[in-house]
Amino acid sequence: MKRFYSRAAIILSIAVVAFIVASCNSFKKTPVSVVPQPGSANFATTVFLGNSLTAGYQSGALYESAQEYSYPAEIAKEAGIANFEQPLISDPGIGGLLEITNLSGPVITALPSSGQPLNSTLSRPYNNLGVPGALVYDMIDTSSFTAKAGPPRDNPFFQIVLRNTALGNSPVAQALALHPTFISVWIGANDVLGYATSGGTIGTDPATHSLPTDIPTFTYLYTTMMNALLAGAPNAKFVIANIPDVEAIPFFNTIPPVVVNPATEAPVLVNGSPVPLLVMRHDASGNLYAGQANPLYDKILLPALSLELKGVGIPAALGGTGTPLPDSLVLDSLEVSKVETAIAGYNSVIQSVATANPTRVALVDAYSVFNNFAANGYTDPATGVHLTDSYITGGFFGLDGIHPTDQGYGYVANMFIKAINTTFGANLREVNLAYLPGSIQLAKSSPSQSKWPVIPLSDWGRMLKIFQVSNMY
Amino acid sequence: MASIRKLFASLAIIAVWASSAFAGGYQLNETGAKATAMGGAFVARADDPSAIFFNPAGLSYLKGLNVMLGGELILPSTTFRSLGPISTQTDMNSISFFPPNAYVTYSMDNGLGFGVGLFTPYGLGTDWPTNWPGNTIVTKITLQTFYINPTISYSYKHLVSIGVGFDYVLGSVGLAQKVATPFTTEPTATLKGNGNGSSFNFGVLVTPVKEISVGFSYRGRANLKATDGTLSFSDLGALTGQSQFANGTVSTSVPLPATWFLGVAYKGDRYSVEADYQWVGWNAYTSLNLNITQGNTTNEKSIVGDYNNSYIVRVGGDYKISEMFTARAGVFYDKNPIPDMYLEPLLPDADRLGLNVGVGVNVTHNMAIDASYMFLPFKQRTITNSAIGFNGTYNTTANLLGIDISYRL
Repeated sequence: MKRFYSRAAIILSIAVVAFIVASCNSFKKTPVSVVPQPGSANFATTVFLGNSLTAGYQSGALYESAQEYSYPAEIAKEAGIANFEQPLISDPGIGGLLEITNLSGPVITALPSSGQPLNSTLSRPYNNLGVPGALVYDMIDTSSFTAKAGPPRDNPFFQIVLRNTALGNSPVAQALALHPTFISVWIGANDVLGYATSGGTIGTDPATHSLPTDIPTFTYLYTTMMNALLAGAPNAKFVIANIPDVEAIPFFNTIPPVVVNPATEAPVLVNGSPVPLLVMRHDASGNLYAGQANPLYDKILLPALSLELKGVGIPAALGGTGTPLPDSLVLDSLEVSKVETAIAGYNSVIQSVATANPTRVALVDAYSVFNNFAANGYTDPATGVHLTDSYITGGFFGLDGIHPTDQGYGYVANMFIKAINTTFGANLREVNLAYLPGSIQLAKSSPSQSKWPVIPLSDWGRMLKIFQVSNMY
Repeated sequence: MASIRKLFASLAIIAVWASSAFAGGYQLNETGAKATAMGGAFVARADDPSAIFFNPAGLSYLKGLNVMLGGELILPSTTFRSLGPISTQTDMNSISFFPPNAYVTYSMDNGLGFGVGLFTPYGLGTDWPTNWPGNTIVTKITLQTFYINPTISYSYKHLVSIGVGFDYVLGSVGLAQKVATPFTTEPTATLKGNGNGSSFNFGVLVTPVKEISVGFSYRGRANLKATDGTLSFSDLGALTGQSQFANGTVSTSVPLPATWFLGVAYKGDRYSVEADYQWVGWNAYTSLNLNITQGNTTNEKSIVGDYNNSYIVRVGGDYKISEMFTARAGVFYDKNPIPDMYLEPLLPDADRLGLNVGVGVNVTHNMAIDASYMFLPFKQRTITNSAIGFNGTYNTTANLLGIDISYRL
């Protein structure tokens, strides 16, 4: 009997051990490969062409910490693109990185442009060829890019991104020199943004230099650029994006065109009605005059705030100086309509390129995506993290009111990824916005009595210079 | 411009708490070095003072006054790899824990036994780098419990013994995480609370023949109720003074699930073996509710876990080398209770394999030292459907060293 129990115990034990061992075949650390299906696209050599949005410009500067979260960098991570190189610039970058130095206000100041290129010896073109300030013209302009660092453009980024004519004498030439299998193009915003951010005073129209690039010129330049790329990389697939509505960015929609009580931040009411700001604006025939802002259609630009704090634009009866805000800080209803006409014309051209090449070109409808974002914001379904287009608090746009934050660029990356997946049958995962770090610079500082966001005009001037392009032809 | 005054009203404090939980398989069964060395397969033997934990019916078979004191050094190591074609790895900070155990028992010749035990059957700690990708979920979490367990047992003719006990539970919980803001400044939110609770346990030990014993023990669910916990913020920088970051109070109740052991043991002249099945009632964790009060505002956050009941299969034995030395070994397989979608870096749990060895030394007639070593590999676990959108691969191993000193009068 004792032998029976003994054997039974041993057999039972062996059975249990066997069960345990059989259950544990996966205790080792092994690679987890999540390689996306590229569909009919091939991301082996991918190059991104564009402007500051493509470069990863943020809060007034191009700097390494933001470039790591540029939408090209995010797409490269999701597509598994090896050897993805960007023209990194050490923090705080170049351009004058804006920083909140006091939340009570808040007070915003620019850091010095003391960044240095970190990756300038790369012996081939960068995968991210986005150049802050670039126009569609610059994509195919083969004249000296070094000269663009001097007057009138004073734009240092062409030299930093393109570096050496031996790598190609234009962004398109450098892109093709990589023998790309996939090309992303998001260009054209500056052809209207330069006009808009100057309050309609400076333009890129070759005839007048005071209007957006005219649509025939844009059409010629854009199609020439795309034809060069389509022919130069005959097997490559493309993703191209159209131009967002400027009304969808805080630079144009943060400052209301009416007088606001700094204490309550509510509009001042006289006889029950809000009081329009005094502005320089155009009448229907295009004549400039000093008058009241159109509260429905005029856009007061973000930099007007520093003047408004000094009483400019506010009637003398309400304690202001009674002098109007200058033309350069007001995008009046006439100018808004010119901006909208230009954008519609550009987007029609961009659409037609996509339509003509349905198997090779995916189109990102940035215009609709940004308008939808402006209307509804974005709520992360998993975490509830919520982004809106509000200045500073919205979390989507950085302190320059024009360029996205890390999360904003993640959203942009997803806009591209959706189009790529749909058109090419790929299955790239989208960027998880909830776990991207906050990127609006916040410094410690002493308290201030200021009630409004203060950005010194000199800082805005430096920052906006790259958009305010003139005489470049 | 109205938005400027309410500049931070929209900063989502909700994001702070949306994904917090003291979650997961935070059970610890390593409450005695002798039992641990045999893979925790001990309910049918329960022949040292840790019987108070494993099976209080075993108290009747101890002799005289026994005191046992020791603890378990736990050294876990976890890595997280993000999911994607280009993956980044985060190594958890190295941490160690030493949950102690202490038992005093007295057994009379008439079959009555008494005792009181102090041990830590539930506990948890994770410590991630403060700048890691999941820092808005957790940077640091601790859960400590102490069970004070007075016990009584009675045996009838060495055939059947029963034991019952009462558990008074003391505990503390702590959680630190970064607050999601649009800014480069990342404040740290810290939640701390102390609580208490109660439960009971009982056990049965049947010895139909001298060589065979069958044991069953049960410990009921306790709820660790913390009513006056604190919420505080640090690393605020320029965000100091914003009302979202005012100190607050927190109350919550952490479930400490019921568990039972069923085992059979065979005792030979020089060796013994035992096989156990342990059930753990993890479906007690459906969600954790946190009531957070800041100023006049109270928010309740419910964190869904929907854990499954789980089990542990154990087998182990010992071999008496001499009067002085006994060698021990055991293995167990521990099925984790957390559904994939609710697995979070708070507790990167996975199915575990416990490989145990140990030795017992009778230093003198009255004094013994038991030591155990456990290697505890976790299955690699890849999450692709996280409810909070935090997907990736977790790998964990742990080394555990146990020691107990027993003194018998």
